[in-house]
Amino acid sequence: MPNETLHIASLLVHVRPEHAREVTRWLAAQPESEVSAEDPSGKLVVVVESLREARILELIDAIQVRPGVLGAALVYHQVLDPASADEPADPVSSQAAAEGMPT
Amino acid sequence: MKMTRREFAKANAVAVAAATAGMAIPAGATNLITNADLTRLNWNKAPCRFCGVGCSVMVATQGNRIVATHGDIHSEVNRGLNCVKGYFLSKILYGQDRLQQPLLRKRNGVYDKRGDFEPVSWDEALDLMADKFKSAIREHGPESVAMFGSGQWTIWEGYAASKLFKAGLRSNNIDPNARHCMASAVFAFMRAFGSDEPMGVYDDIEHANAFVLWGSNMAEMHPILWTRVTDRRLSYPETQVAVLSTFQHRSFDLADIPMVMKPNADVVILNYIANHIIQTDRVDRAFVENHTNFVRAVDDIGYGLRDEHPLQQAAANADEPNRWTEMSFDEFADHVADFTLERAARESGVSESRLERLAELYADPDIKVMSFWTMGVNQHTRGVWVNNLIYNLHLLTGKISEPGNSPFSLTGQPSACGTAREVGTFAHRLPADRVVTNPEHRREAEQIWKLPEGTIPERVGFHAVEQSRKLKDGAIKVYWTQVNNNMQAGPNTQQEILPGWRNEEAFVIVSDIYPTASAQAADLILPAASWVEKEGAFGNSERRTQFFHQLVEAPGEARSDLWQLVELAKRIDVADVWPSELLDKAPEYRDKTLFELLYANGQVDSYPLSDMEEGYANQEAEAFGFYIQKGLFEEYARFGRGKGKDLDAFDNYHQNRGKRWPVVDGQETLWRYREGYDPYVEEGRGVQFYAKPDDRALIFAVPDEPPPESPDEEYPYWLSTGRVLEHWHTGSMTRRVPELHRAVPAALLYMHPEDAREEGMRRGSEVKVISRRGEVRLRVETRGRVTPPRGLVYVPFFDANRLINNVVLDATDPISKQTDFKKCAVRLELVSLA
Repeated sequence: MPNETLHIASLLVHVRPEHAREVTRWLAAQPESEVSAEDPSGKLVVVVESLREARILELIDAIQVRPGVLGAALVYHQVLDPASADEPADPVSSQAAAEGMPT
Repeated sequence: MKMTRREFAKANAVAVAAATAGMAIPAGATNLITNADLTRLNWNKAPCRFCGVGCSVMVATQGNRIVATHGDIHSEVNRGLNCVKGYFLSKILYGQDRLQQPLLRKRNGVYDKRGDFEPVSWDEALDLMADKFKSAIREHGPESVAMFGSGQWTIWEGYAASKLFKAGLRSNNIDPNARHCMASAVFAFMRAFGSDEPMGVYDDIEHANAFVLWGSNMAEMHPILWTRVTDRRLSYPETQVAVLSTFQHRSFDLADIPMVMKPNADVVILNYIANHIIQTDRVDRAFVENHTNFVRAVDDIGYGLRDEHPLQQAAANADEPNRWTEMSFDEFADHVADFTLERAARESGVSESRLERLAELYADPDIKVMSFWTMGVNQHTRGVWVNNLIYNLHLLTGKISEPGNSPFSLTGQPSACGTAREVGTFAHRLPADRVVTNPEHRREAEQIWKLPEGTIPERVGFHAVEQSRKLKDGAIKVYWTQVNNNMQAGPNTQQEILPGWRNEEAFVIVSDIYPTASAQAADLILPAASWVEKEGAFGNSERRTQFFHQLVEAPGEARSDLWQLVELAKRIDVADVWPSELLDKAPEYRDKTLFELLYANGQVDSYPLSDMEEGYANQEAEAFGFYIQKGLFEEYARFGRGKGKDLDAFDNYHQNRGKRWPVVDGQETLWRYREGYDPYVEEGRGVQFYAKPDDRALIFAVPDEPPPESPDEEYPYWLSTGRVLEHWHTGSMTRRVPELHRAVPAALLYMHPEDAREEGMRRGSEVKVISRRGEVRLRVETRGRVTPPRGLVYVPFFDANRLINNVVLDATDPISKQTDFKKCAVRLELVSLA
């Protein structure tokens, strides 16, 4: 399909610690999201992969209304061509990535 | 190790998010790396152009288009985070209906107020404007022209506009939309401390162990700052968060002490807390004796309505509300003794136990407390008083001007501080806290501007709400609006604003990037450049000045507000607008244009194009032949240097992520008035409120006075208005981002389900909201992000198809002249049940 894009984003989710397990479980059950890191104080790093940009917003909204969730903020967003997404990456320096992370 | 592009992207995403949160980077994500083809984009920093938090974003351009933005990991403000509005920044400039050429109402080929919009050239538009300004001033004097600007102006745009009006046209009738937002905060700062803007900084968040929200929904309106508060609360579980509002909102999710109060009860609660501090003997006596004075404010000050309104006629001190008399600590203690816990609980509807817990956050000397507030406090007929009452608590306990102890007034616009307040684009102000009513201040401004004595008028100009009234009354003949949408944002639209703008006697000009409600109600529309289509500078809530380069070209014939102001100045001669007595004092200006008087004055034009950083376009500098932004900034900066408002050198700001003033010897200031942090405090003084003549801050005794309008049998509900996360103010930008528009397409009427049932309504019903001034149709929402208590309804104002400000009363705080958008009385009528 022409013009199709693959969106990869990460979110920082704050959740009351007593609800963290439940929120993590819910996130793991969503087809586009995975919990990639977790801090016992109630911070989750969530990676989202979707062919629709609007889905990222919908997911943020859905996370916000889960019990115990205090907030979800976007950190990173990169757009890939799905056709070449599984080809080997062509690495450049980490400094370049930090200065100008593609979104 | 070979990774695919997808795997690399995910590893980056995780690594950056973990770093942002101060979390250990998980294994497998340590290789922060990306694809070469994706780094071909040109990346630059710019402060976000939405709220007053001042997040820095990285902006990617490809050719002449912004293609992406992300949070700037080098920013001390947002540390790589982004809210949804910031996330969609790249799309705000690219709405289908972007204005690209000037449009003038015409009939039979000439300007006609009743004509239809037709495209015209810039020359035709500007020549007509110049004619209108000149003839109005010639026939009706300089008070017949006015301008409504913005806290979204860049610093030099606001400065150029203020100088054009106050020095060139000799009219103080220029006011920013910050009047609707921050005026109460400004007046309270000046009353209490003699210097505008907070003493603390965002770093206080990481030092505080209690946060109190006084009428602010930070979770939705300042989400990135709220993330920092949330992080503090989760990382240090002993931290307490108190949230006070007239309805329940998203910030309540984090609240340890949630409080829904009756409208206007904040005055009683704040006076009670002062009483509690005194009664429990927790006043910091040494601090109070050495650094404060007690004063009694005049009472019975009216409601900022039209003079003939019965409530104004009945008020004893409506004419001079900003006065006070000295009093002793004992007299102050007597004054607040009436505000008991029982009374505060009874009048606010908040339980005694919660109020006492709240009071203890201030009274307990071991708790470091940060107070936040925005429109719940400022948009209040007693907004200045409430600001002062919050400072009272921090001053009585000495919890101020040190890490973690911080009364922090948040702002709504990206440069409400940097432009509207610091540049002094208010009708009563000049740069760096000077005022037009002070002869010395006028003289200092005239000297910096190389103008003869008597150029700047002494009289305070028309403030925002008064501008609408004067248009309606026919006193203002030419009215120019830039970067705001007052036809939608201003109060009492149908009775005051629209009749004023369509008054046959007025010529109304609107500069904007989209055909807003204001543009459509104008006579001449000027297409504007926005954000990174020009070089700019904003100042955020924590005194941080941030710069950005022009990164793309504006579409079509759109031009920046700065270019428009300066081009108009080229078309007006000094002799057209100055009286002969003033020209006699400065005959050298007799044959000059306002452009030569104000901008090509040997100062602003003294920086050549070669000073510009290589690789960046600059439309205005190229058009005028000198580095005009630098010239304006350096001339403006002279006002504040040595006065506690020092800005850094121009070029430095393009390299750094902003600095917090005063910037002395290249060093920014985090905590003002405290020795060791603020270079202005004299050695050995500890704390010094040096902007006051005796170095003492003022603690104000104010009474409780009722609002101008309260619910009654005919209009039984309180109406409060405000915003939602996805949209910013009147939605002129965010409603053009499809993702944001789809997320929240229409304004809803939020109400309590029991109230809905009693009214025979339900979720989705269409109802009329009716006040004594007008009505609007909305759909009922009984669930979701806002939960009003019984007897109160809430409506956001972003929706141009449902103008809630037709309903709102144009009462203002009598001191600050800021409108109270948070309480008036309405009734509800069912249209269809659904």
